[in-house]
Amino acid sequence: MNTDPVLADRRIAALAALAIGLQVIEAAIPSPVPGIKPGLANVITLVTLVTLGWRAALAVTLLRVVGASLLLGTLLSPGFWLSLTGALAALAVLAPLLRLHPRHLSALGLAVPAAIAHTLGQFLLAWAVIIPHPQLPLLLPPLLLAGLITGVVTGILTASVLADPRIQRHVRDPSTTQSG
Amino acid sequence: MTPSQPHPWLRAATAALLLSLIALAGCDRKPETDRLTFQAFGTLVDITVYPGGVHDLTRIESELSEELEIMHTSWHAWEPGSLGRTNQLLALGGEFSAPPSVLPLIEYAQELESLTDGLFNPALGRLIAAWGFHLDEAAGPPPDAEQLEALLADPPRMSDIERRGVRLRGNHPDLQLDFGGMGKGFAVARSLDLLADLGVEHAIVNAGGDLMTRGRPGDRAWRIGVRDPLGQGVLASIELGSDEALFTSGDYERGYEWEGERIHHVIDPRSGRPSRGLVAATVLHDDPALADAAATTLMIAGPDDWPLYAQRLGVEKALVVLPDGSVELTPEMVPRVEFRREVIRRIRAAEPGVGAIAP
Amino acid sequence: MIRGLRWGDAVVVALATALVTSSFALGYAPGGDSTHLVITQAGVDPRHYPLTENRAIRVEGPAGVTEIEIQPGRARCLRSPGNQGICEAAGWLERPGDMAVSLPNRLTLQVRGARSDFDSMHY
Repeated sequence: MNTDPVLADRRIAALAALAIGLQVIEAAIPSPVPGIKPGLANVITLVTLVTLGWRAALAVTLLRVVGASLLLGTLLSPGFWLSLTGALAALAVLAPLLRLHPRHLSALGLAVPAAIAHTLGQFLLAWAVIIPHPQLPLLLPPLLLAGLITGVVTGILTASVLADPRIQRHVRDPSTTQSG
Repeated sequence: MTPSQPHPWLRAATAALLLSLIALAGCDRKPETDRLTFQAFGTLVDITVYPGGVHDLTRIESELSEELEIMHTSWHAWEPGSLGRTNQLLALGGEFSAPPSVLPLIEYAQELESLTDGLFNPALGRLIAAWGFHLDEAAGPPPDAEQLEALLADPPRMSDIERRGVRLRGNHPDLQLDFGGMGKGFAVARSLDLLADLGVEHAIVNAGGDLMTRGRPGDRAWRIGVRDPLGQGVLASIELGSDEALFTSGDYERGYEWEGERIHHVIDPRSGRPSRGLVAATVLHDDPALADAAATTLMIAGPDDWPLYAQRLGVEKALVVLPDGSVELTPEMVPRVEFRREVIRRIRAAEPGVGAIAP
Repeated sequence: MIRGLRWGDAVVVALATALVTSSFALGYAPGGDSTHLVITQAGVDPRHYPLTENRAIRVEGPAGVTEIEIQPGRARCLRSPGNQGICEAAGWLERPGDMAVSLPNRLTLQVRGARSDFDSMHY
């Protein structure tokens, strides 16, 4: 694995740019159900995680959340905090699960828990801080279902991206890569 | 493909997911209180006791239902019992010793009748009967204009009962007591005393929706849901401390349809007809009999005068529901009620001094 | 199809599906959060039945048999002794606190919810 810091930074920058682009495009497409989005930028997070490790994934995620909100003009708005919380919750679940990839879990097995964690994290923030309404928990089941579906979709997309031979040679595999 | 030993991380991840599943299912919290439901006093009695799992619920049910049945028979307005006998003796006009179970109700009713200028008048049993409410299943026909005129020409009042110690004399031939508007308050208070005798220190006694608390469930308050009188679901929630009674009188409770009109059981002594203008009146007070009688009185007083009568009765916390679904409440009631749906609400207080002026 | 699926994927997807399903069952069942029916009868301990699947219950009482029907999220008194039909008239019991009563059989049916918000209902 290449440890050249400049190259690593460039890779992170390129991946973050892709993620920002995807998130902005997604924001421009009206969603049939408010609050539910495909979350295509998560494909980039997963690819980064698998190819460059969780530190790089954290960097790409933070750059994506801040960068996209700058472009969309939502910086520090409730939407921004929801986006940040969801992304960090997903990463928090992914970091331990990464150890199981690829031997026990494929990208699909990473994407689904990430999407569920993303949904739960956002929901808890919304419930605890932004709108503590007693009826809000009734929204959780459909949101979780949407999370499951988008998790499967991003998982399949991530798996097909990772299957590309140009990406494949960057994939961290415990059996072939030495750490450090 | 399947390795014989799962990776420790996989086990941890599985455990974490399982735990979150259990946490979600864990909304089903362990009951900290016991609930007991049975029929007595002509209604559905629902007892909540704290802490859960320590009381002999079968014994509580048998003792309470027995006591409630005794009270029900004693105070029944049209079946034979202590009140029935009292009514017969009052009609005869001679002096007699009041049954001990009935005397405290008569004393209290006399006090309340004078406080409310006769709006709360349990001496009008005949009027209630004329409207078909002295039947197990209330039914028409309602009295016609001629009958009503006769009933209202010289209506009996509580002051027509002469009281000397335990000796009573009836001074009006039409006087017939009906404690429908306050008996439940007495019954609920007596039930709580009986529960205390049975070693229950923290409880709610709920008789047909009207209830009183004693003690507290641990370090929190009792949580009461107020059913929406104009539909399904919960209108509001109210937190109660110890020894607080919540009573409601509503036009939906007992009644029947007659020629397209809803005839309900709260009869206004002024018109001789079912009260108008309010759907329900709710009173929160530490005296359950007063709360019971006051709820009936406010219902009769109607949308204009209810704050005035609340003040006269010393009721600070009251709430009424109007036919359009809006709610009016006293300033003291505001902090106690948490509405569960969108509702138009107005705060009403008796104008200062008005309550003191006798008409 | 996607290549490289692992057995752990199946575990993860199954768990996630279970989580979503149970969240619907718990929080979003028809009729709000009604989860079980409590049947009380004079002198007998209350019996609890989950409102999860179709089911018919027959309860013997002093006046005869009360037939109770349970469907997901709701329950009703189908037939009960007594000529006034009060028990049947209560209709479907769907919300926590909804109740049907059979006076002849000294029987009450009450729907309770998982999030039992209230210690007592006032009406």
